[in-house]
Amino acid sequence: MKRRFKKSNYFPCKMDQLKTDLKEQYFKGSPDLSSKIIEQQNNGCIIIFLDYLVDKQHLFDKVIKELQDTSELSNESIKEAIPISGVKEEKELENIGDELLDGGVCAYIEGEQQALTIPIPRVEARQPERAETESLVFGPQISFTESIDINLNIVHKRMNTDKLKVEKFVIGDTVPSEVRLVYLEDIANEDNVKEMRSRLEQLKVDDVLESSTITQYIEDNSYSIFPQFLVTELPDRFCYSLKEGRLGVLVDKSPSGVIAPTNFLSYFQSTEDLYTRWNMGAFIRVMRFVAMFASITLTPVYVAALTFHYEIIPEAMLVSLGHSRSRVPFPPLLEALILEIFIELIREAGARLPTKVGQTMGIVGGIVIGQAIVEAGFTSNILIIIVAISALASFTAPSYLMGSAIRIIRFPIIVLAGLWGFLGIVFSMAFIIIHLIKQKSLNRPYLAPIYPTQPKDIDNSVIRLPFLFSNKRSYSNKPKEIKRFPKPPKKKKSDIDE
Amino acid sequence: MQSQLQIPIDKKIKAVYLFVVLHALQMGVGVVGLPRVVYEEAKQDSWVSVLIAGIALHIVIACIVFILNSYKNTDIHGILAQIFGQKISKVLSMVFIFYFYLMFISILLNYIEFVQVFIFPKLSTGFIASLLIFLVIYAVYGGVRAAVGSSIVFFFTTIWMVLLLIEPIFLMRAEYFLPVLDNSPQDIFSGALKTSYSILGFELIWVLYPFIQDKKNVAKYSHFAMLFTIILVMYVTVVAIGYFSPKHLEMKVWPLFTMFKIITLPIFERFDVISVALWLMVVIPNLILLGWMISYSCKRVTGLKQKHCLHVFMLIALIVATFVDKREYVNILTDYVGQAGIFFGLTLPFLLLPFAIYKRVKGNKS
Amino acid sequence: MKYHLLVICILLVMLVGCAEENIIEDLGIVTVYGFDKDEDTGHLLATTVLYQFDPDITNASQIINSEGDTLQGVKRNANKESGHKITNGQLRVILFGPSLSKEDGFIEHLDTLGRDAKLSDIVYIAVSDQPSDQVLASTNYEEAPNIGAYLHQLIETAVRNEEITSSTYHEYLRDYFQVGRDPVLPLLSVDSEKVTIKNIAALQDDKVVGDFTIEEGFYIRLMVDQFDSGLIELKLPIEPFEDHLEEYAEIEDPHIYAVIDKINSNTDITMESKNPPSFEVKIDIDGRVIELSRQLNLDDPETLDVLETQVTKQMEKELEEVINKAQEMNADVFGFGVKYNNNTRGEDLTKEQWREMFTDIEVETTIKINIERHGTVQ
Repeated sequence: MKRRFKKSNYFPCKMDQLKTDLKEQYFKGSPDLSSKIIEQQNNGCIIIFLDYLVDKQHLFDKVIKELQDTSELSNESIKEAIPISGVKEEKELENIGDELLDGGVCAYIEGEQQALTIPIPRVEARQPERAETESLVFGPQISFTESIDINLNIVHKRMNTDKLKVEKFVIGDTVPSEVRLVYLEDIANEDNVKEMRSRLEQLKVDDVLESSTITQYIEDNSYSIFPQFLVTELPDRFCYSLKEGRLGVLVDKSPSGVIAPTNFLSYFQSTEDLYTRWNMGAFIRVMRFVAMFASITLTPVYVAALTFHYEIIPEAMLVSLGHSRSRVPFPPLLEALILEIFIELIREAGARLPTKVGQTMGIVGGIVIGQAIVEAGFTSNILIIIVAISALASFTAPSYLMGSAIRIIRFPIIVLAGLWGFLGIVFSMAFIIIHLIKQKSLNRPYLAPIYPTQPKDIDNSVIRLPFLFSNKRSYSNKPKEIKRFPKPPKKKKSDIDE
Repeated sequence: MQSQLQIPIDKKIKAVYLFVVLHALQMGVGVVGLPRVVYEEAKQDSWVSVLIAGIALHIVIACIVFILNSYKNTDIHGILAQIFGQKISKVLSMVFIFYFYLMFISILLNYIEFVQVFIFPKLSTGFIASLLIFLVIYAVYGGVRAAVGSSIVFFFTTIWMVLLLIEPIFLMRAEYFLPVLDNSPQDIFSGALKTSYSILGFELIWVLYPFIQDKKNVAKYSHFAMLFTIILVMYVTVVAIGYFSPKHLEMKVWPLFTMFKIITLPIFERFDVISVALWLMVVIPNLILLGWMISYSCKRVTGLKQKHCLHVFMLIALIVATFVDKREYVNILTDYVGQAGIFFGLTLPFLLLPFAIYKRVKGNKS
Repeated sequence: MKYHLLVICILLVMLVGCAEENIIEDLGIVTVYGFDKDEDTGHLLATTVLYQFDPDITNASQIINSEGDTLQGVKRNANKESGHKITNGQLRVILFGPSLSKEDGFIEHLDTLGRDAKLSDIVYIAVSDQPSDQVLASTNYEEAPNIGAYLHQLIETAVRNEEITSSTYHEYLRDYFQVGRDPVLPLLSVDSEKVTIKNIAALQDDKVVGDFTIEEGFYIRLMVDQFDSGLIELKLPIEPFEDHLEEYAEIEDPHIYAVIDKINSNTDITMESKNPPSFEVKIDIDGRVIELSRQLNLDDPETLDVLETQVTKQMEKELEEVINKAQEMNADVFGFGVKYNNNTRGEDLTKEQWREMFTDIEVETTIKINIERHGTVQ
């Protein structure tokens, strides 16, 4: 998409001529191209820049002031005088235009063979703030921002080791964006790095948009509902994954990093599990798996039991269930679907609306409408409890994408449960399991360490162990160096009261 | 047909998986009805029959592993080709495949019957068959890794059900086992033969062998698998004998599910409904492994694409399942498969054994 | 092309695969069946107690009486009186009135019920001494939602307290099919509009031949099962305790009552000889004294010894009475026949043979009792 200009040397030219040429030929008459002419006794200099792309403070303090102060205008002297790195000499209009787009200033001294470009871009970036979607109670609260410089800065500061390797890619034809592949050289698996590198290199798109879109371009199976690369806004999670031997990808203009390869279980882990004590961490991890399972199965089981298998309902619940159901005009399947969609609506509305209104909506939707629905006999009150619990449970997954995936796969399971009862539920479970087995993340099995079975990985997947025992990285990542640290020497066993 | 197979490293599997895979293929629809089938022959000494069957199983598996080890990197088809030459071996291989295919269909039909008897009497056979076959095709498309993987994951998701038999165990009576060894050896032996349908499936190793990475562990893990299967079969049989009185047991077509009937969990009043549905997860690895084995063998023998073989076989299975849905046909088919298994599973290895010994002896001399 | 095929397949599957729905509010969920025989017409009479859920009716329980010749016929006739589909999946108790249980036998009705896989195996079977429709019509069923739930609770509590042997559908059929053992069932009765477990009925196959009191039932249970926390009240003569009494007041009663609870028992039956069949029963009992009608110092080993001998004596006597009673009824509720059968190799005992033999068997009983604790009072 680059415009081609005559290759011949453009300079020397008149100062005004340069500005008009740039404006007409490169910027197609942009109204924001500003210029200022600095006259000195024998010579004149024009500086051209795009108004909103340059840092005004730097422009006045460091460029114009210096130019005015120098006694003799020449490219050499200016280069020395201006206290900014990256000053370049350019011969062609095209390059000058590119530099101006990146937030540079073009300074041309009439009569010179080359123009100077001085990069003083204005960086409009949010400073790192508290993480919103993946907030932690305990541990570092900082999140990535939209600037790759700040993000790289954060990552480097958290891991100031020379083993941290950063590779640069520029992806996007219309709008090129900087993409960085980050990994720890002595830990990350060579094959993974090669694979990721080739996928990034072969990626030909017009625009990468965001890091979560880049994952959709390069992941293994784009038909699957399950995310294969983990997108996180937490630098501590990002860095922890790097230390585990995974690869990270940072994209400019995106407030989140991508982690690959991942496995299914890692979407239910949080760095918080490591910050809390091991028994708490282990408990909470197991809780999340239970929550996921409950979230997927509770409503379908209700639908199946009430539509087909009344005999499995315990005697104590039978009467109350029957009473509340008898007022409902719909079959259980429809009843459950209505309520599930209603909950999804509340969630979606709460997310779209401004925070303060969103909270009110949650209360109105959840309590007022929920109460009214039961009173009107649209659904049974037991179903309200079940649907609320399963919605709540789906939010326990530390990864937003995984939580959403769980919420969405519930719908087909509910439909199958309504059609074929428990057979439908087991069928869909079997389908999901087979799907997960077939899935891969960066050519690594997605269901590891369940299959390929790796019992040694239990401390890195389902539960957590004290660091004393858990001194190894995850086997299923196949890192170059498996040991994180040598096993501490055994404490001498001492007798009671010794 | 090439006799020595070169399997790419990323398709290979560890020998440990044999433990679960062989066991998963053996466990299936057979064990559900096994206690009655054996009891009809060997009465209260059924457990002796199972024990005899177990010992036989170990001898057979040792024999198979010996043959496979002598022929190095090849499967049953390669071995047959080396012994009988290309043309005859193709016919033999086809017979072998047909036997597996019959096993596939009998498992399919048996499970469909469980569903129709215990949960949905009116759900059509063709429909349940298409559900199962859909899963099979989807999994077999993932190749050997997915087939093995599904058996492992489904093994972990269903093995806990054996613990639920604790409630029937409390209702067992020792008197049903007495007097010990009161039946004639013929009865006990024919009881042992009747177990064949429930322990078939170890033949998978004939085909899976070239895919195994560490071949020196094959013997160890396949013996563990057999041991585990026999322990489970024994467990179910013993509990069933103790739980039912003699004539009562002979009346129950599927004693295992009947035993699940008395299990109540706090949230589920009746476990049998769930157990029949969950049994899909026990049966589906059987079907997936068999489906993979049939289609892969077919590709080996005929040179057709594995996909096409799979589609054709599954389509025929679906049609058969739709039209053969009477219990008597299912029973006849199951009996035939059990009898064929006595030949293909238990006898064939001994027929091939002399050739393997000859090859070893010749190999040592040269 | 592929996708078109897939879509067609899915549509076909959806059309074919319509499972039979049992939506809970459309069902009449039966909790108890009561069966009788109409003496005049010979028809089967059924009383069906069911839940049916209607929005405006607070009491979900319904009772339907219907008649017919087969069970399915009865069910169909019952369905004529209900707008709900009558289903057996939540059945808790099956009750047979005296007209069936005493004269015709009821096994054929149980068989039809059992063919339906929906029926649970933990349904309790019970018999009543009044026609079952009268029993089920009783109005006082505590806080249970209907009479079916009440009967289920009633029997289950008794079983859990080890007052009667459990008689679920599975256990009844198992004993029915077993040669050399006759089943027992709880005998229900209505007393002032409330159902109670009156006695324990002893059966020959599926016919009631007599009944034992709950106290006698203790000995039956002692013989066939282990006790974990049983309770027994014994009436002992006063004479042997004369020397050990520590009286506060004059009591005229010539007996002393002792209640032993937390009974932990272990029974061992061995066959002594084959012809005539004779058995030796050895029972070990551990228990504690919870109540005594007279004051005894149980810390004194001698007193305790006397108590133990007396209790043993009394229990042996009562056990023998129970066995004699069973022999009179010719119902081997203890399973001596099974022992006999197990100890004779190569012979297959038939029910008829054992019926002839059972009345003549000799049983020798030895009870060993060990009283461990005696409460907070000395």
